[in-house]
Formats: sequence, structure tokens, C-alpha cells
Amino acid sequence: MTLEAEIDDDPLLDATDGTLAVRARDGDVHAFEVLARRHGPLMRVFAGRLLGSDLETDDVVQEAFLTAWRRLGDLEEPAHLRAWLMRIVSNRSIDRLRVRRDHDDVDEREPAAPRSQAPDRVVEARLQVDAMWTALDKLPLEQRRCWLLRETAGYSYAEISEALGLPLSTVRGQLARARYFLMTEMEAWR
Amino acid sequence: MTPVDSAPPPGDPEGLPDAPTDGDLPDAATDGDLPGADLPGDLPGDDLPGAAAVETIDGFTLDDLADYLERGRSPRDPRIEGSADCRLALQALERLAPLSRASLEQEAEREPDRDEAWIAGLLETIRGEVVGGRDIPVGHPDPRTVLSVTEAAARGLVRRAGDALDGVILTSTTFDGDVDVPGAPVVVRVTIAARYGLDLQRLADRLRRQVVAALATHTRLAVTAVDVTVDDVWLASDVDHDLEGGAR
Amino acid sequence: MTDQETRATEGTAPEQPTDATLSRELTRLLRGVPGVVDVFDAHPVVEAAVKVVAAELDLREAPGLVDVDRSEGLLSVAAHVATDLAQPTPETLARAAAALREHVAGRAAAGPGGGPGEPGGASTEVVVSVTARLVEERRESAAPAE
Repeated sequence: MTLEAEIDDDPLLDATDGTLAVRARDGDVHAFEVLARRHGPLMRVFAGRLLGSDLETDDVVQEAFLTAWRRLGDLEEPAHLRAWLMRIVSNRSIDRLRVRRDHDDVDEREPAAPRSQAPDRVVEARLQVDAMWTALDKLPLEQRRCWLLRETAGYSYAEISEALGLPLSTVRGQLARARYFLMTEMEAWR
Repeated sequence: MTPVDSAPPPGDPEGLPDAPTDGDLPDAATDGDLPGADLPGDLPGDDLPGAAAVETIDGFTLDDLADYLERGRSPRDPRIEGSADCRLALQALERLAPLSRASLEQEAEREPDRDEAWIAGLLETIRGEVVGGRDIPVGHPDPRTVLSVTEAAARGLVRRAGDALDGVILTSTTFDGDVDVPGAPVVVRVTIAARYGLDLQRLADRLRRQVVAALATHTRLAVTAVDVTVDDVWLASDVDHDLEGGAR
Repeated sequence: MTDQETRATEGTAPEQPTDATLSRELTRLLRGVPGVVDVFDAHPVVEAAVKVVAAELDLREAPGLVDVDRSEGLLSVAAHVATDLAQPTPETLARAAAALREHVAGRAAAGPGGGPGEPGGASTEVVVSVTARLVEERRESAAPAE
């Protein structure tokens, strides 16, 4: 029985988030590595959509993982790791947004949503998921932030209000607009 | 925690490490706004057509319906449930969040493999932060020489012993007892996930032997017992030649 | 570099190694001990942060990872290591401790400064502690460049 797991046979690659989280909490750096590779991409995409650009996403994701490593002991339900990570990366992204606001970087000109280069993009455009990506991209930045924080990161209205520095009524308004826009784009209910 | 109905709850039931408030599941009812409250027809940056501001479905705004959805559609509102248009809208609303999530996940999967630098740096930092836990003394005749193995290192040994067994993945490892007192009795408690179909009794015995051997070689712990709990079982995706059968 | 180290390299006096130098020497020494696979920073946390900053300024050598402390008439040497899975860790730790103790004693014999004694050579207790923070397989490329 070999002691050194070869890359292809690494059993941890198939392990559940819960298993990996517990091991990482007990000090297993490799388990944490598997988690980072598994969830990093989504966290990066999410941060990019929140921030409105890819400039700071790498930093934000790194900070998020560092926080996660240090606070793994706080995670009561290891199986809920992904949602927990999404909240941490949201917080780190929001910190960046606050810094921008404090420095009056209010003019956030957003480049077009970076797309991965797939040759058959046009053909796939009809798929609902792609339509949603495009719709999210079309959302004004503030509406998108409210939407993502609410629906992907699970923030309450009050938390969004605090995070983005917006009055509660504005948050509700932005969410209402976002919902309406997305529903219309998805042509889901007309 | 109020269970949220239907779509997988995006909310995080955990207390959030750095959140300004507790990370409770989203509960629209506590936010203090009444359903049907003034819509933002007059907020700065309002660039949607006026129709968006006052669009109602049988008297309900999208906001109302979204809140209703989040309350788990309870208490049941007969005016909403009795309206076909409302229910259609609810269906559409329900699809939005999972679709949104799926579009992010799809993009994440399509991302080209990043360079290794980001993770190498991260792991290097983390390696330096592995909390050692208690120091397990290793004796030495000279009192001015203090040798020890950290609890974290010992846990790593136990994990390694478990991982070396086919069909076993160790989850948690703890040492019960005063590990920092030489000779104090210590019970090693491990939980494992095992592949379905394996003879768990034999597996546990093998694991015990491996754990005891590893700790005897590398520490001076007085291990009195190894307590193995199987708390998860997984199915092998391929046919498993190692199937040993036997009852659980 | 500190003034002391500058003076040392300029050779204006018989070698006056500082504790920083001693730490570096002991770190190098440890890497050569059979069964020691890696050396971690043994300095207390606050100090470690300061050392990182200092290391960035000192382009010549990586900082020593062995903690050398002199207080209350004691010279305390503390090392954190990763040990080889293939050899019993207690034996590896004992070898490492012996190597450290021998080197420190050798310094004392070599002359004033750097050894257990104050310049003048009054003998001081030397406490050596070695802690294994990790036990793993030796990998060929494991040792970082000095």
C-alpha cells in the first residue's frame, strides 16, 4: 500500500466539502488545497461580478481563503462550506467597494463581462443559462450587486443596506428592478 | 432556523465570521417594510420605464411576490394562490436564483486554468499557520533538552494512516486525554467515511493497527484505545474489485 | 545588515557572530541532520512578522529560523522541524538536539561571543528544544534554497 497518493489517485479529490472542511480544520493543508481549487473559480467569477471588474478578484479570493482557513473552527456545519465561502468572499469584495467609495471612485465604468472563449458561443446563446449570464451582465452594477448579495450570498436586506451604504428602501427598489429586468430578459412569465 | 421552501436556500445558516450582523437566513418579515410599500419610482438613477415601477400582477408587485416566496409561501395567501398570473410569476421568480447561480458556475467551469502562483502562495502562508495544538513530549535523559511532537503533527500521522487504507477517508481526529503529560492515557477518536460494501469491522481493526503503529513510531503517546466511528458511506462509481462484502 | 554584522564581515575584529548569525548557522545545520525534512520558523509570532520585514531588506541571506534567546542567564535554542516519515521521530529529534547543542558548545570553545557565555566565557545553561510540527515523506525537492 503506497503512502504517497499519486495525483490521479488522490481520494480527497472526490471527498465531500464536509469531509474536506473537517480535515482542513484539523490542520490538513492538502484538504484545504482541494477546497480552494474546487471553489476558487466560482468565488472568482462571483467577486468579479460584484466588483464590476477582474482587477481585484485575485486578491479578494486569496483574502477570502485566508480568512476561511483561520475561521474553519467557526463553521458548525462543514457541509455548508460553499455558502460560507461565498459569504466570506462577498464580505471581502464589499470591503473593496467601501474603499472605492471612501476614495470617491464613484465612476465605475464597467468593461463588458469577460467571457471565456468558447467557439460555439453563438449556438449556445439560446440556452437559458447563457441568457441569464448575459442578463446579469446587462444589469446596472448596483442592481446586480443587490441581486447577487441577496440571491447568491444570502444577505438580508439590512445586510445589503449596510454593506453597500444604501438606504433600505433603495435596496428593495434595486432588487425589485433587478427581478423585473431578469424576468423580462428570461421571457419567463409573459 | 426557519426552513426555506423550494429552491436550495442561498442563505448561509452559519454565523458569519466577519459579518456585521448574524448570518441568519434571509427573513423579509424582519426588515420592517410592508408589502406593497412605495416602489422606487423616484429614486436617483431610475432609468426603467414607469411601467416597471407600478407593474402589478393582480394587485401584487413583484416585490410582494418575492417576499411571499421567501416566507415559504406561508401563511398561505389565497389571493396569491388563487391567481394564475401570480402563480406563474412565482414560478418564474423561483427559477431566477438557481439560474443566476448556474450561470456563474458555468462561467467558473469555463475559466481557463489559472497559473499555479495564486494557490502556491496561499498554501505557503497557510502552512505556516497550522495551529500546533498541544505539545506532546518525547522524553530525553538530559533535562535541558526538550523534545516534542505537536498535536497537529500527530493528527497528520493518524490521517495518513487512514488515507493509506483503500476505501477509507478520515474526517476528524481528536486526542482525548492529557497528551502533554508524559505517560498519560490517551484515546484516539477518529471518524471516517468508508466505501460502501467494505467489511467495516475489519476495516476498523486494520485502521486501529495502523494508527497505533504510526503513533508508536513517531510519538511517545500512551494510546489506550482507538475509537473509530463511521459517519459516512460512499458508493464507488466504478465496479469495486475490493468488495469484501459482509454486513455493516 | 546590523552594525555588528557589518563589522564582522569587514573583519575588523575576531569574528563576533551575533545571535542572528547563530540562528542561520543552526538552521543550515538542521537541514543536514538525518531525518529532518524541513525547518520552520520557531520564532514567536510577533517577532516572526518583524523578521519578514528585515529579511526583505537584507538581500544577502535568508533569516535563520531557529530561535535563539538569551534571558535570565539561559541560552535557549528552539527549533521547529518537519521529520521524515521513514525514521522514528523521537530519534530524529534527539539527533537534531545533539547537533544543535554540539554546535553551540563549539562556538563557546571557539572564542568570545556567540557561545553560551557572555564575552569572557562564563558558562551558561543551554536549553535546547526541538519540536516536530509535521511528519511527512522526504521529497527530493523539499529543501528550499538557502
